Amino acid sequence: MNPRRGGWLIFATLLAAMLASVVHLPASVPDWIGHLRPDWIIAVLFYWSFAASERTGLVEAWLLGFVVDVLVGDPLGLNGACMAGAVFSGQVLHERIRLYSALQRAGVALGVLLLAALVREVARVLALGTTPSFWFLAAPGVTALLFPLLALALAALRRRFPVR
Amino acid sequence: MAGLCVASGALVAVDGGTTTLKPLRGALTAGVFPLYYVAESPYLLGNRMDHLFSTHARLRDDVDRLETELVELRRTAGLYQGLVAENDRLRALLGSTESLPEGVLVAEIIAILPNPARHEVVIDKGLGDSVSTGQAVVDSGGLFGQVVQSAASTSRVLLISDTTHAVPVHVNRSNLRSIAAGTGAFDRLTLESVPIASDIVPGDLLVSSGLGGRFPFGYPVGVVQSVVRDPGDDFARVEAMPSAALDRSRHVLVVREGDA
Repeated sequence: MNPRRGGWLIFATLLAAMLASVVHLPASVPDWIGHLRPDWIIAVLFYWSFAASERTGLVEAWLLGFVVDVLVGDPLGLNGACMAGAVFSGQVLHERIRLYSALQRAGVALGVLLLAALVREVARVLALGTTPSFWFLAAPGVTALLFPLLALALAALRRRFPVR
Repeated sequence: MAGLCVASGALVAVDGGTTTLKPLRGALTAGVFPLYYVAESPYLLGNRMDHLFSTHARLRDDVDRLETELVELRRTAGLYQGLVAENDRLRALLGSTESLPEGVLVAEIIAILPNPARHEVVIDKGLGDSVSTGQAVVDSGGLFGQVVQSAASTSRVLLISDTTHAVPVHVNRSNLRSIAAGTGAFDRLTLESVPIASDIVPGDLLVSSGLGGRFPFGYPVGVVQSVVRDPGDDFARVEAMPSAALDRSRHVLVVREGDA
């Protein structure tokens, strides 16, 4: 029986993803570029949920969602649902996804990301009164395009620091 | 999973509609604010470096410029003091109450919320500096926004350009009252319900009217850019440019009414 280890790596990558989600661009960059910001948190979480499905938990993801809510200024509970949803899909499909090619994985990630983005947009419009726009579709696309690279990077980290 | 979703839905509804979860949010914000500092560190460091490596000549230029500005501002402040005294006397003659003195607190912007659809920033002053929800925030140009949530040592400020924000204003020249609503663009506000025949022209200065009690009276909000009067419409379409440097300011002032 192997001892459980490497959980810190999952946490550290999620922390890095959170940082990447709040770093803002210089004011000289046009406003619309901001809409293309990849959804790092969902992408990283989704990767871990199928690559190390036994080390990710729905409730942990949901609780971490509160931190993200506060960080990006969403109503409390919103990101928890999206993140738990990403972990849930990863865990349920992990046997299948592990056999997939990089392209197929990006496809599944796109689905998960789109669903999360849709839930967030609807909740923001309803709870915060923001004006609905189709820009929310941009970030999942960009993230899915980057997902193979992200998965490679995370896999390399995982080989270096094993997660069991 | 379903349970978590239901719990989330309930929480979102409660947090969106009420202030019940404010303590929880405040505690969490206090926990995450180091993250803001880390995320903002490239800019903060950049500023430090800028200070470290500025040349003697540039510093002298800066000092010269600031000194001239100071002299000019002193002169304006002197005039202003006289006007305040005169205004108070006139108000006393009219039998109305004196306007409350206002205190300001300098705050630095330490984070900008990453969602471009929402114009919110985080400042480095919070409940500990007696910054509380509803206080107005101004920068050197004019009205900047209002505090929408404060934690122990940080607060979130909603900018006047956010689509959910509106501020009661009046036209400085003609005293026409209106409401300046945010459009989601940093350089544009729209005036709501301006009758088509009203006295408003491009170049008019919009000043916060103090109606509604949220914003103090008399801060510049914006300058009218265009007035479109379509004979088929009941209202004129008026657009204004915010006076505050909404996307450029680093330092802002939190206005606290009643403590000078």
